Amino acid sequence: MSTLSLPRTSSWTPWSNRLRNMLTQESIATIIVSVIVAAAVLLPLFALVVSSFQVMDASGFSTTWGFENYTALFNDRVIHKAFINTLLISSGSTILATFLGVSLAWINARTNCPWRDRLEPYNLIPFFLSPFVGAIAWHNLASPRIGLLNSWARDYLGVPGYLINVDNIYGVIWVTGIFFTPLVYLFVVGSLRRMDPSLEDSARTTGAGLLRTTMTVTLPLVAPAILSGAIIVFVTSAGEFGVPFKLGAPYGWQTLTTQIFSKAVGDDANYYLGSAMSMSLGIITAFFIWVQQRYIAPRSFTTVTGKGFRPNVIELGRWKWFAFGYNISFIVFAVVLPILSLIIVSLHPVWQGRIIPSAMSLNNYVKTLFFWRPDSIQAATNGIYNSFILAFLGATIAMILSLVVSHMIHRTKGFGARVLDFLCVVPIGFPGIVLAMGVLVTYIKTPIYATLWIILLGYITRFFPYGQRNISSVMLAISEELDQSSRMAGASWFTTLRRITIPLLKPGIFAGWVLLFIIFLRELSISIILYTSGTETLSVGVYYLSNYENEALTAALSMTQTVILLVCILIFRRVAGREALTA
Amino acid sequence: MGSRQAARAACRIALLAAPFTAIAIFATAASVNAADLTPHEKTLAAAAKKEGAVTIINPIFSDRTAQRMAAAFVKRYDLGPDFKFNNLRKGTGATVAQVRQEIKAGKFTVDVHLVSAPGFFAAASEHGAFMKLDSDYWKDSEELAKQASQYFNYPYVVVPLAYTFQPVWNTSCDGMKDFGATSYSDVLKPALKGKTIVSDITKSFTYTNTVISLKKNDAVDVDEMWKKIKATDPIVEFRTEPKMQMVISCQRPLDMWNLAGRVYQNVVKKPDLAKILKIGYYKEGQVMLGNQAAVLKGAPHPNAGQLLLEFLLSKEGTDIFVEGEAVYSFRKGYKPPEAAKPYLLDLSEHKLLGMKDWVAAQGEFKEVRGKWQAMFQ
Repeated sequence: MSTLSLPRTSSWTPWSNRLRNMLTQESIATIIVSVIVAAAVLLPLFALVVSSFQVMDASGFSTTWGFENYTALFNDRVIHKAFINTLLISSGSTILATFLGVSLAWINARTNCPWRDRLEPYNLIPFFLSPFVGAIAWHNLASPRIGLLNSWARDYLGVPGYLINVDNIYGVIWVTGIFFTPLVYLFVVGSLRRMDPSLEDSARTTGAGLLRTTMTVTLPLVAPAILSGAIIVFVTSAGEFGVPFKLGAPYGWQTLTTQIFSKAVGDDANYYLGSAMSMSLGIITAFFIWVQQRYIAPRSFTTVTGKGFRPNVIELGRWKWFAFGYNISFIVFAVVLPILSLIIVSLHPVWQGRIIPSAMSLNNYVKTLFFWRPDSIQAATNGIYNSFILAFLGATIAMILSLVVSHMIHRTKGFGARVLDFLCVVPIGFPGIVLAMGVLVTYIKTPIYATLWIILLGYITRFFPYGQRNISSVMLAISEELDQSSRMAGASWFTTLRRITIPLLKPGIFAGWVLLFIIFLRELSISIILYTSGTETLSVGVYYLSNYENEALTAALSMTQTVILLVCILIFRRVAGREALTA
Repeated sequence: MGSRQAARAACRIALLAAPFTAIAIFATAASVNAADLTPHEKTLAAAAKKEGAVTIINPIFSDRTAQRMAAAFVKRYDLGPDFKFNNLRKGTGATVAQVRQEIKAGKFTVDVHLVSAPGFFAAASEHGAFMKLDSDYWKDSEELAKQASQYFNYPYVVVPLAYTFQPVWNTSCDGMKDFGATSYSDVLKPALKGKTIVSDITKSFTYTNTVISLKKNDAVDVDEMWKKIKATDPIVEFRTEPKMQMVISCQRPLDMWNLAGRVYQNVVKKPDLAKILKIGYYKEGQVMLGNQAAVLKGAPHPNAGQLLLEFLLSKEGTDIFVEGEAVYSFRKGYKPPEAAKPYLLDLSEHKLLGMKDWVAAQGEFKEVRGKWQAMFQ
C-alpha cells in the first residue's frame, strides 16, 4: 500500500509547492487588486468605446453600427471650436497653476518667508472649494455689470464700464488655474521638504548662486513632482465642466465638456456622439500619459535616502517681504475675495448686483441646512448628508486600492505593473460626465443602479488614480533598498508593507485620503449623471440651486460646502499633522 | 294648464324636492373626499397606499410646489404620513435621457414622466413604454388640448399643463424704465445692445419647438429675428432661472423668452421685485407648449403613478401647480387661483400658436438648430 501511495505523494508535493509559491500574500493581493482595477476602469471604457460606434436614430431608441459619430466630430464647426477652446483652456490653466503652485511651494518649503507655516493652509483653500463654486464666486466678483469689483470700481474709482471681465475664456483659465494651483503645490511641496540638502550644498559650495542652484539642482530634482502635477492639472482642466459651464458657454466659449454635457443630458441627448467626443479627449490624455511614462517614470529620482536630514532654508533677505506679499496676494485673489462674494450674495434673498444691507438675512442658510423645516430644499439637505457618506467610504476604499496598486507598480516593475500604471491614469483623462455615462450603461441593470453605491463606484473609478499618484510621488522618493532589506531579513510582503512601506508612506496616504475626501465632497460631473431622487450630493445641490433657484441660495450652499471643507481640513491637520497635506 | 296651475305644480315639485336637495347638499359638505373621488381613484388609492411611494421626474415643479403637491396628494387620497412623494427635478433633456435610458434597460426608478417632449413621447409610445391609462379626468382637458393643437396620445400620454415663453424685463436697470414689449419688434431693437439674452435652442425642445411653431404659423421671420438679436450682442443661456437672475441683477435686463412663473417665484421670495419685473407678450402669437405626462410600464409604483396623473388632471391638483408655477391648464372652464392670475395671460385675448404635427416637427430640429448655431456659436 505504501509503495502505491508514495508516487502520488511525490507527484502532488511539487505541484502543491509550486501552487504555494504562487499563492503568496503578494500574488493574491496583486490578482485581486488587478481584477478590481481592470474591471472598474475597463468595463465603463469598453462601454464607451462600443457606444461611440453606435449611431442613434431619430427616435433615440434604436441604433445602428457606424462611424457617423466620428465623422460628425470633423464636420461639426461647434465641436471644432470646442476642441480648440479646450486645448487653450487646459494649456493656459496648466501654465498658470504650475507657475503659482511651484513658486508658492518653494516659498513655503524652502525660504524664510514670514509666517509661511500659517500661510500654507490658506494656499490650499481654493482646492477645497469646487471650481464650479469658484466660477460662481468669480462671476459675482468680476462680471462686467454685476461684479462686485467692477461695481466698486465704478462707484469709488469712477471707472467707466468695467475693470475686469471673467465671463470669457480668460476668466475660465484664471479660475481653473487658481483653483488647481494647490494640486501642483501638493505634488511639489512634499518633494521639496524631503530633498537631500547635500545636493544643493554641493552646488552652492562650487559657487552657484541661489537662482542657479534653484534652476539647475532644486527644480530638476522635483521635476517628476512638477510634471506629475502639471499633467494632472492639464487633464483635469480638459475634463473640467463647472467653470466653462458658468463662465464660458453662455458667452460663446464652448468646451468639449460643455458639449459632451449637452449631448449626455441635453435636450438633444445623444450619448453615443458624446462617447465619440470623449474618445477624442482620450487621445489627448493618452499623449500625456505617454509623456509621463516616457519622461517622468524613468527619472525616478531618489531624493530621500536612509540618512536623516533637514532641508536648507534659504535666506531671502529683504526679498522675504516680496515673497510674503506674493503669497498674500494669491490668498486674497484665490480665497478671500471669492469667499467674501459668496458671503455677501448668500445673505440677500435675491441677488440684484448690489449690496442691500436692509435686505440681508440668514434665510438662505435656513433653507439649505435646516432639513426638518418644511421650506428646506431637499436637494441641498440630502446632498450634505450623502456627500459625507460618499466621501468617507470612497476615500477609504480608494486609498486601500491605491496603496496596493502603487506598491505593485513601483516595486514589481514588470509588464503588468506598466499596464496597471496605465490603467490608473486613463480614467483621469476622461471627463467625469462621460465616465459616469459609461458606469451608468454598465451597471444600469444591476441592483446598484439609482443608489449611492453606483455614485461611489463612479467616484472611485474616476478618482482613485489621484490617490495612487499621490502615494507614487512619495514612493518614488523613497529608496527601494528599505523594502528589500526588510524582505531579506525574512519579513513577509504584508509585514514589509505594514511595518516599512506604510509608515514611510503615511504622509502620502493621508494626503491622498484628504485629497479624495475633498474631491468627493465637491464632485459634480459624475453625480449629476448618476443621482436620482434621494441620492443627491452636495455639488448636485449647488448645481440644482444654480439652475432652479437663484444665485443667493446657490451662494449659501456653496459657503456651507466651503465651511465644511475648511473644518475637515482643520481636523485632519490636527489629527495627522502638517505633513498630511503636503506629502 | 293655466298659469296658476303651473305655479302650483312648480311649488309642489319644489316642496317635494327640497328635502332631497338639502340632504344632497349636506352630504356634499360633510364628506368632500368621498364625493370628489371617483371609484377608479378609490381603487388606485388603496393600491397606492400599499406601494407607499411615487416618483415623478419633471423639469417644472419647484420644491415649494412639490411640497404643497405632496401634502395635498397624500391628504386627498388618505395615503398616510409614511407615503413618500419624490419630485425629481431635472432639465427637460435630462429627464428624457434618464427615462429613455431606463426604458432601454428595462430598469425603472421613475413612475411618472412629465415634460414637454412630443417627439420622445411618441417614440416611447411606439415602443410600448407607457401604461394604458383609464382616466376619469382627462375628458375635462381633452377638448381644449385638442383645440390648442397640443400633442397627446390617450390612453397612454396626456397633457396636464402648458407654458409659453414671454418677454420679461427689469425696469430698474439703465435704459429700461420706459421699455415695453408687445411684439417681437420691441425686443429686437438695436438700442437694446448689451441688454439681451438669447435662448440656446440647441439644448431645449421647447425653444426649438417655439421657433418651428413661429415659422410654421408665419408669425415671425425667424432668420431675420436671429440677425437682429445677434446685433444686440446677447448672452447665450438656456435655463429660465439663470436667465431670470441675469434680468433681476441687471446683468441682462431683458429676456425675450422666459416664464411668467419664474417672475412669480422670485416675487414670492422678494415682494419688492413685483414693482420692477415686467412681463410682456407677443401680438404675433404665443406658442403654447404642452407638457406631456405618462406612467412608465414597469414603474415601481404603477398605481401611485396613475393616481398622481389623475391628481394632476383634477381641479385640486391643477390649482396647486398653477398657483405654484403660473402655468396653464387645459381643463374646461378652469379659473386659476387669485395669486397666479396677475402672471397668467388671458388666453381668450391672445393669439395662440400650436402645431399640427409636433412629432414631425422633431425632424426639423437639426436644420433649425443648425441655423441658430451658425449665428450664435
